[in-house]
Amino acid sequence: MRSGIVFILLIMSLAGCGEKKSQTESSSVSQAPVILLQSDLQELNKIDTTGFEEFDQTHYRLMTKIFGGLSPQNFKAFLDARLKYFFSETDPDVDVVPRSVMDQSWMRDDRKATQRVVRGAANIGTQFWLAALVAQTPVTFIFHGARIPITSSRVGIMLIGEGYVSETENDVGKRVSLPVAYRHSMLFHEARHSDCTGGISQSDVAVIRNSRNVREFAARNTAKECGHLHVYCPRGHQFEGYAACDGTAWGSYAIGAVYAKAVANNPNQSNLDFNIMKATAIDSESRLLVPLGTNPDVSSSGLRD
Amino acid sequence: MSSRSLLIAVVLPWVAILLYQALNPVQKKENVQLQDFSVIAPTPAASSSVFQSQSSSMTTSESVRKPILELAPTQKMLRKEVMENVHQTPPSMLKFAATLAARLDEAEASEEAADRVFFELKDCVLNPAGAINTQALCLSNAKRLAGKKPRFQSHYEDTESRASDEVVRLSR
Repeated sequence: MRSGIVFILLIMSLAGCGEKKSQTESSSVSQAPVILLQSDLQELNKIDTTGFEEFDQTHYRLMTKIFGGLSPQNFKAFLDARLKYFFSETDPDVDVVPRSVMDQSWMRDDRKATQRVVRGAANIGTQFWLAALVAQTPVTFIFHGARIPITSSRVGIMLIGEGYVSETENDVGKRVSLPVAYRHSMLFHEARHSDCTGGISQSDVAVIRNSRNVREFAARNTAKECGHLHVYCPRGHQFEGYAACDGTAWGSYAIGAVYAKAVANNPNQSNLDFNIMKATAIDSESRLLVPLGTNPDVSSSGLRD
Repeated sequence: MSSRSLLIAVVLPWVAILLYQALNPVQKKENVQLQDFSVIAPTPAASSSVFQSQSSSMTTSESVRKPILELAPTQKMLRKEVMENVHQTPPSMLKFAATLAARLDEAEASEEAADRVFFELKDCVLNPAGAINTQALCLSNAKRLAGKKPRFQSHYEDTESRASDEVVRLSR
């Protein structure tokens, strides 16, 4: 079923959650990112929470409000509720049926495909769910022989790409390990895309259905907190023109940023871990277009009248 | 004590000292020149002592390290990477973070390195052409270094006061 996932990759261009990629590029990606991910999920049970309490106290209890507490079990539960199926870009045994549901006008990006695309992780479950709602058609995700009906934004289907890495290098070419917390913050970001906060109305769905392409969808979408899809960064922003910003409070970048900042608050960590987490927090926070407030709503609902 | 004895005991030694100094002007001048030279252009030995903790274990590539300002990714570079991968922290930002971590390690091991690193961080923060994310990361590191070496605290406060509000906000 290799053609299935290639098909999914080719048509995905929804507000930063997926990009066009050729089959040639796709076939060069290994299973290594998924193996790394499995290890990272195990590490959730051993999260070093030093500094979290102090951070939480000085930041309106944001960690507790988002994750439900400060223990490793809380963070694991947050992910488990939102991400369930993980696969790589080379996985031959995944597909979505009917495929036609993933070829709707509001998903299309008419711009020329970029020359090179690197994907770290992308939560595509919410995209499948929205596609089913808009098309008014039941959609099923085929995952290693299992048939998973897509009935909720929290179906939790996660694509892991070659950008999901364990190392970086410094200026003299020395390879250094990225802290697992860096990838955890990436997973919390993706997990947030599973939340359809406030639900989605029939009129919201109609607006999506009538959008002629993904840019029009991004501009007209009235259910901006459903899936917390990214928006195009406005004129004057450092990433102007790219779907790399959050236009509502407490979207995915904010969730990732809070976690990264809390980890960076650990007084015992190395200069390397501090810098990686701080860079992650700064990057995420720089993409927020609106003030956050102090009361994140991490609930999720479905279709409403 | 007679006036003659007083002359021999007190005045003559001073006269002798003054005479000696008057007869050895070249030696004194040489000493002054050496001191001046050592300040203006340190000898190899003096120079290596400044970076003693690093020099013995440095590789060739490490010994020609660029200033932090030159290593910070540009806005253009960050935009290119975001175009390729919209979702994530740009790889050049992670690389820059790893580089700053190595610099902080050096700064913690040597006072001379600390001086150099702190003021390189300051240059990075206040670079008018810099990307705000790199400026904010530099300011975070300046704060971390000032926290470990209080002699930089006033310099940090000065740097923060001159940074843009956005850079200060992101650095916190």
